[in-house]
Amino acid sequence: MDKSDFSIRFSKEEDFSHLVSWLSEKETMRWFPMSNVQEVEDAAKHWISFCKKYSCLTAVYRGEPCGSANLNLNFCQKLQHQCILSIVVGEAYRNHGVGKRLLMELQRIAKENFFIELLHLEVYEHNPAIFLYSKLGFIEYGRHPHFIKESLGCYRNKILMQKLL
Amino acid sequence: MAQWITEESFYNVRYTEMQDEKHLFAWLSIEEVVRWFPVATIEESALFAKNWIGFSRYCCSLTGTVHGVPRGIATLFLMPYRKIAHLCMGYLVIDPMFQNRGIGTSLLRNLMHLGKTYFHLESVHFEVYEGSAFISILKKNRCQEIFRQEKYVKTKQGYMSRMVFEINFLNG
Repeated sequence: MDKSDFSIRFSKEEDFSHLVSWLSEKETMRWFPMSNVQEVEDAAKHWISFCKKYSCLTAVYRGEPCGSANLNLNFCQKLQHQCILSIVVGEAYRNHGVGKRLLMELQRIAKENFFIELLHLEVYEHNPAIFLYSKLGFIEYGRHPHFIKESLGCYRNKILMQKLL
Repeated sequence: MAQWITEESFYNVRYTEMQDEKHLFAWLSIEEVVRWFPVATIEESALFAKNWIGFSRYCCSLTGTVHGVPRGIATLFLMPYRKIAHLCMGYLVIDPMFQNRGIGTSLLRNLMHLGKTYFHLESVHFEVYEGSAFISILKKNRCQEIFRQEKYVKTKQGYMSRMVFEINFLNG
């Protein structure tokens, strides 16, 4: 991936359809709680709503959106020093550093624009992204057992990770 | 008068009604109550109460009444996605004038029964802040701490941890 063709900008409402398409990819959906089109659209609507608050970023490669990361800002004052993040990268653009660049920029705006002290995330066990989160300094602080129940009745734990900014 | 008000004939548990919102909002506007919830301002409490009471339309919320007046509400915040519909988060609040009279325990037990038998939930979890009196009720009712996150809440008095307790119905 040529770095000169890559950029990160604030997300726009028009990015909604890209978000829906990335979240609908079969391999991606395994790592999210959604399991059908309606659920994905509901989740994507909530996600993209944060573009009004400038807490949502879109990665662009050769003019095409290729991933998004979002700070799910809390509306309650007591919780506004911390925030849970969401991230997705289109399947075709994985393993090229898009996730890393998005997360680094997200951490920067979290700290500088929103005065976030504690950034955290939820990820399901065996998700390969755990390696990236660890590399960027996120540390596991807990697990929620049997959080996901897959169609064959198999369970997957939710791993909770955080980073002090 | 019995030690536990829940043993009296004038105590009742019924499904929550939308009209109970005014009681919920009133309790969530009292400082000693609100410190154990994420909200802090009147505006936040109003929005939180509105969201909370909205679950009553799914018959997943119970109200404890004394002489017909709501004195506590316990609710299952049902999950919106199929893959996680086997579990949910519970919320409970008691009128501070009626705390330590058994209403919390009564509502918690009834809520667990509702979750297990009617909604076929496999587990229910509760998010509480450190120091909450609700923790001892949870522990007495077979809920186990599954994780905690430090510095989750920030107030003028400092930081507080959140603790998540869970009861797993598959474990008997």
